[in-house]
Amino acid sequence: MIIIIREAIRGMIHNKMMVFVTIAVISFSLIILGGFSIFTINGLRFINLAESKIKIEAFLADGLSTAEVDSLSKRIGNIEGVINISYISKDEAYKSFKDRLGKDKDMLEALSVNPLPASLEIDLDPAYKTLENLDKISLKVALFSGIEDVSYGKRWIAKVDKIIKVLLLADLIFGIILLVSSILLVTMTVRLNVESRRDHIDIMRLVGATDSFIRIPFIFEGLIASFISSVISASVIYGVLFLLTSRFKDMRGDMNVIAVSIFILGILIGIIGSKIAVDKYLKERV
Amino acid sequence: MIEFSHVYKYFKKDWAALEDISFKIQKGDFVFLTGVSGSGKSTLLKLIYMEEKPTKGEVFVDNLSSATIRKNDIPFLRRKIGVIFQDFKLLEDRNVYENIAFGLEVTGGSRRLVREKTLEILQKLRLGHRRNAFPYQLSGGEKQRVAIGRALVREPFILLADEPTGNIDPETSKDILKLMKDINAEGTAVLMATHDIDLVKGSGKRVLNLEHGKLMGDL
Repeated sequence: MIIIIREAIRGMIHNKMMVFVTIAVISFSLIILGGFSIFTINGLRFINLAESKIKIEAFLADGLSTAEVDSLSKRIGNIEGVINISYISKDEAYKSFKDRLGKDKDMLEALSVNPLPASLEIDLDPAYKTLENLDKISLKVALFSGIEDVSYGKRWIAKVDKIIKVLLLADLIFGIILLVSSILLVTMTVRLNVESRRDHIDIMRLVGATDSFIRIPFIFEGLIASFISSVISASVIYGVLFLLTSRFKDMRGDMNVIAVSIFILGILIGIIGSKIAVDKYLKERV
Repeated sequence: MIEFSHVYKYFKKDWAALEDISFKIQKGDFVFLTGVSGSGKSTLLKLIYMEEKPTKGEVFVDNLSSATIRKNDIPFLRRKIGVIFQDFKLLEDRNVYENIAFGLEVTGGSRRLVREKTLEILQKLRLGHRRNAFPYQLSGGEKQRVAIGRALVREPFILLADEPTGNIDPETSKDILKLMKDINAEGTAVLMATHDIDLVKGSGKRVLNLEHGKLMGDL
């Protein structure tokens, strides 16, 4: 074991340039992968946030009694997919509209009557927040007597829905390409490292070293190189996340999870890459 | 100990490197393998340390057959065979002592054993004073002696030499040959491939002569 560790350290000192390139390549790949995961995680969070704001508004006819509103609420509550209904009275609607108008609120105050209708805000199960279901549920709600109008920002949702689908697909494809190319890049770099030491390997075989004896120092080197790369890239990712989260309160990174994942992924890529590269070389020759 | 039985080796379908080779080498023999470049000498040696396998026929080395040996057993066979080359194949980043010790270290010898054996070989090959020198600081003859040291440190039953004097001046070549004879006198068989007829002449040793992959004489 001592000899194997000594051989690995010796190999690294002798091939400083190759080790440096390997570490740079692994670190670079991991940082890109990490950046990509932060982007994806926050993208998904943003989509969730946007989805949680999707609600159906059912405007009520003027002059409904409390009992009538209650019965309407109950019947709407029975529709599949509806999870919550809240009643917004005419006064509440007026107040919230006035707040939204800000300094233009005088316009509203100029009117002598409250023009805004009372409404029911219908919240749906996230699984039902698709365009098709929103349409279906709105139609059902609109058919109840006492409902004047139903709205849920159809045009806006249709557009966003389309954009999200395209973005998710692009994100998935890009993610797969990135992961595969990282592994390929690392494997090729390690392979170059192995090739640059073919004389060394050939001599080892000549004097009767077993394949595992030859393989272990390379894998050990891969482990050390990927450990260093993982520390570098996890630190960079952690630092970037720290800066971003302290600046943008809404941005989340689950910093520890990402940093640890990058760390583990880096070590796995290093070990697997080294093993694939050495095994391939050993297999080609007897 | 080593036996070739009707061995053929084809590298391409119609390119025979060796054709119908049969011979035996017994314990303690000294045998020259002669022939011009490309006559198949290196291929024949590779068949002995099983870097190559015969296309047809069978090679037996120390009771192991090329037909039945498993890949995992080849390293253990090689530990019993010493091989040296025209280009020495030394590790440039290691000094003389470390190059010789390397032959034992990779096979898992204890530190004490490695040290004792290496020092013994350094003394035997008159390399003690050069033990800390690196290959680039050595002459051709010294490099070949280090390579021989690395091969001998494992006490092989046979030393295979592929043109060991090819990169060495005639005077030093004679020294190397003498060293090989001394090694042989101590009981290690030697199979030395060379195209240098002057070395072979008058040596009184057995000669296997290859021409275009065929064994044309066993003198």
